[in-house]
Amino acid sequence: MFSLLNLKYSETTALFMLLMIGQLLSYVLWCWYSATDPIYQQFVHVSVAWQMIWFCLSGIVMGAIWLMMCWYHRYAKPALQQVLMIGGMTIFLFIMLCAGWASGLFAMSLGAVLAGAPFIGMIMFPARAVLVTTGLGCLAIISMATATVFWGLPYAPLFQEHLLSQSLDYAAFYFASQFYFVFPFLILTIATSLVYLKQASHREAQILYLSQTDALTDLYNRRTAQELLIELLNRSQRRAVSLILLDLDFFKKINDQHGHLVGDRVLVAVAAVLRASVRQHDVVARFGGEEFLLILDGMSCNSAKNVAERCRQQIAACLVLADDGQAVTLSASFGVACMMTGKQPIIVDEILRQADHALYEAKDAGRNQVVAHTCPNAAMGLTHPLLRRVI
Amino acid sequence: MIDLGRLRHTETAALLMLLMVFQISSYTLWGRYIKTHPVFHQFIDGVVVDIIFWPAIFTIGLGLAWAGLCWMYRTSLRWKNILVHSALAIFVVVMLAAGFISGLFAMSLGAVLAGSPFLGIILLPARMVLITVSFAAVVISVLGVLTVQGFLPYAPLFIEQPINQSSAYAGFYFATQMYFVMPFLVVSIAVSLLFLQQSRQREAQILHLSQTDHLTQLYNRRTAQERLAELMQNPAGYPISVVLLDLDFFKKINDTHGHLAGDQVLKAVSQVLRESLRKNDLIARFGGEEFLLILDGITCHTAEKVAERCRVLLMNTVVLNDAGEQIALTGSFGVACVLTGGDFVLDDILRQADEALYRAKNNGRNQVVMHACPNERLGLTNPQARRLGEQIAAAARLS
Repeated sequence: MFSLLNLKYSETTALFMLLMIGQLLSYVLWCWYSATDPIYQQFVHVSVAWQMIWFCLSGIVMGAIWLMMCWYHRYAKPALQQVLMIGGMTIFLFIMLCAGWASGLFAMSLGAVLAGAPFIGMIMFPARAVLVTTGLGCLAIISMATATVFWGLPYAPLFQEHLLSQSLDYAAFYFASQFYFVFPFLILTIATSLVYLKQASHREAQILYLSQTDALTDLYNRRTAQELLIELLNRSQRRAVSLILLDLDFFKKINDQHGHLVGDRVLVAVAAVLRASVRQHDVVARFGGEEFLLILDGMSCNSAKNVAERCRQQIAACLVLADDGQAVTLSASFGVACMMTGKQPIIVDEILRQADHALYEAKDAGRNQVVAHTCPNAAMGLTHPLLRRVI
Repeated sequence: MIDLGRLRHTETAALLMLLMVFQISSYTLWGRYIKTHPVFHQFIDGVVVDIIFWPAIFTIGLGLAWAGLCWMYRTSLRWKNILVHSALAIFVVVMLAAGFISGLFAMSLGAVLAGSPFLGIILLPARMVLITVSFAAVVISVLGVLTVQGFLPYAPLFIEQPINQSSAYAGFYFATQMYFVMPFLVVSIAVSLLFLQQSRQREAQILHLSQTDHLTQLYNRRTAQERLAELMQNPAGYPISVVLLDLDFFKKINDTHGHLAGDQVLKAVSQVLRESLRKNDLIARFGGEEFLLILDGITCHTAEKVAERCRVLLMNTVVLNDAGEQIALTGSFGVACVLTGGDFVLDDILRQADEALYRAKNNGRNQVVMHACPNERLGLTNPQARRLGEQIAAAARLS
C-alpha cells in the first residue's frame, strides 16, 4: 500500500493533476451529453458547452504534461520540486476557477471545491502555499463577481438561465448537474483524507512503539519503565506494587569471551525468559545494558520473591550457545522491593533505590540469588492470608 | 493551548455546537440587517425572514445548552455516545434546514457539505462522520426531488431573479453567499491547520524520542544502524568510516563514584564528541559505555585522525565527582572503513571496528587502532582519487 505520508512535493503535485484530470473528464462528458441531447439543449448554451469541451480538453493535456514532468523529476532537488508544486497549484487554481465561472461562481459545486480543496492541499502541501492559493482563489471569485455586477461579465454562461423556483424542468436538470459535479469530488477528497489520517495515526503508533521499546529485546526501555512506574504509583487505589531489579552476572566476561553478538543473543534469551514468567499486564523493561526491571502491579512481597526466584532458576537453566557450540554459563542476581500505594506520596527514586540496594546485597552475597528489601507488608502484619486478600 | 488531537469526543461535540451557534448567529444578524433596510426587500421574502427568526433564536439557545451539556458531561462514559450523536444530528438537521431556506444548490451549502466532513474526520470517529454525510446527501437529494416535483419551493428566502439580467440582485446574492461562506471557510481551515500542525509536532517529538538516547541525547543504536544501512545505498566507491569507542574502566567509575557520576561522565563524553565532529557525522550511544561515530564520505586515514583527536580531547576532559575529585577518563577506539559497492554486509564494518577496538583494549587501552584499510588497496589515498571520492560523496549528499 502506498503511503500518502512520504510523498515528495512532485509526487503529490502529480496526484493533484490526476485529480484535476478526473474532474475535467467528467465535465467534458457532461458538456458533450448536454450539448448533443435535444432535451437539454434548451437549458445550456450549446456553443459555450462546445467551447467548454475544448477548454477542458486543453486543461487535460496541460495537466497530463505537468503530471509527466512531475513524475520525471520526482527525485529532483527541493527547489525544482517547489517550482513543480507551485506550477501545479497555479494550473489547478486557474482551470478550476474558469470551470467554476462557466458553471456558476456561486453554485454548490464551486462551494464544495472551495472548501474541499484546501483540506486536501493542507494534507499534502506546505500550509503557506495552500493558504496563498486559497486566498488567491477567493480574491479571483470576488473580482469576477464584481465584474458580473458592474461590468456585465456573464454569470454562469454555460447555462441558459431560468428561475429555479419557476421552471421545474430546469431545476431538475440543474440539481442533477450540481450533484454530478460535486459528488465524485466529495467522495474522492473524503476518501483521500480518510486514508491520510489512518496512515498518519498508524505511523504515529509505530514511532510510539519504537520510542518506548528497546530495539534489541523489544522490552520497554528505561524511560518508559520509569514513566509507567510513576503512573502506577500515582493511581489512587490502595494496592501492593513490587519491583524486581535484576542484573546478569559477569555479563562483561561473556561479551569479552564470546563476542558482542553472543552477548546480544544472551540478552534476547533473558528477555524472552522474563516475559514468559510474568503475567500479561506486568511491565518488563531493559533498564540498562544488562539490567532488567520488572514492575508487578498488585503483587505483594512474597509473591514477587517467588516470581524472582522462578526467573532466577529459569535464567540459570537457560541454554545459549556460543559460536563454537559451547554453552554460555548464565546467571543473574535479583533485588526485590515492594510498597503500598495510596498511603502517602511515593518517591519513585526511593523504591528504585530499595530494589537497587537489594540487588547490591545479592551481588555481594555471591550472585545468582534473590534478595528482598525489608518488606513493608511484613511489618504491618499483612503476611496473614486473610488480610492479604483484603488488599 | 488546546490539543485538538487529544480532545474527547464530547469536547469536540461542544466545539461543533459552538460552530453551529456562530453560523446561525451570523445568519440571524444577516436577517435582521435585511429586515431593517428596505432596499433589500425586493430580493427577500420578508415573511420567511420573520418565520425563521424565532426558530433561529431557539436553535442558538439549543446549541449553547447542548455545548454546555457536552462540556459538563465530558468525562461521563455513560452519556458520551448519546451526547456526541445528538450533537451531530442537531448540527446536520439545523444546517440542512438553513441550506434549504437559502438554496440547496448554492455555494454556501456546497462549502458546508464539503468542509464539515473534513473537520469531522479530523476530530470524530470516521464512521460516525461518514454516516452523517451520507444522511445529509440523501436528505439533499430528497429535498431536491420534492422541489422538482413542485412540492417544495426552492430557496424560499430569496425572491429569485435572473442573475444575468438583474445586476442589483446579482450583487446582493453574491455578497450574501460570500457572507455565508467565508466565516465557515476561515474557521474550518484554521481548525484543520491547527490540527495538522499539532499532530505533526507530536509526531516529531515522538520520533525524536524514538531515535535518541535519553541520557546523552545522542542517536540510539537502532537509528545508527539504520543510518549506516542508508549510507550503504550510496553509489559504488563511496567511502564510509565508523569509529567505535569504549570508555576504559567505566564499570570501575560507576562502582567507585556511583551511578550519577557515571551518568555525568557519559554526558561529558557525548558533549566532547559532539563538539569535535562535523554536522553531518552521526554520533550514537551504541551500548552502555560504547559510542559509535559514523563518518559520512570520509576515508580511513582521516577517520583515524578524527579518532585520535577525540581520544586526546577525551583524555583532557575534566569530570568531577561529588567530592570534587577528578575522574580519570580515557577511551579505546576501533576504526574501520568501507567503500560502498563491495560485497559488504552491514555487520561486517561493525565487526571490523569491534575487532579493532578489541585490539586497542588488549594493547593497553587509551589508543586508536585501525582495521586494514580498503582504500590503500584501491589506491584511494592518492589525492586525485580521494577528490573523486569526495565529489561522489558531495553528489550523493545533494540527491
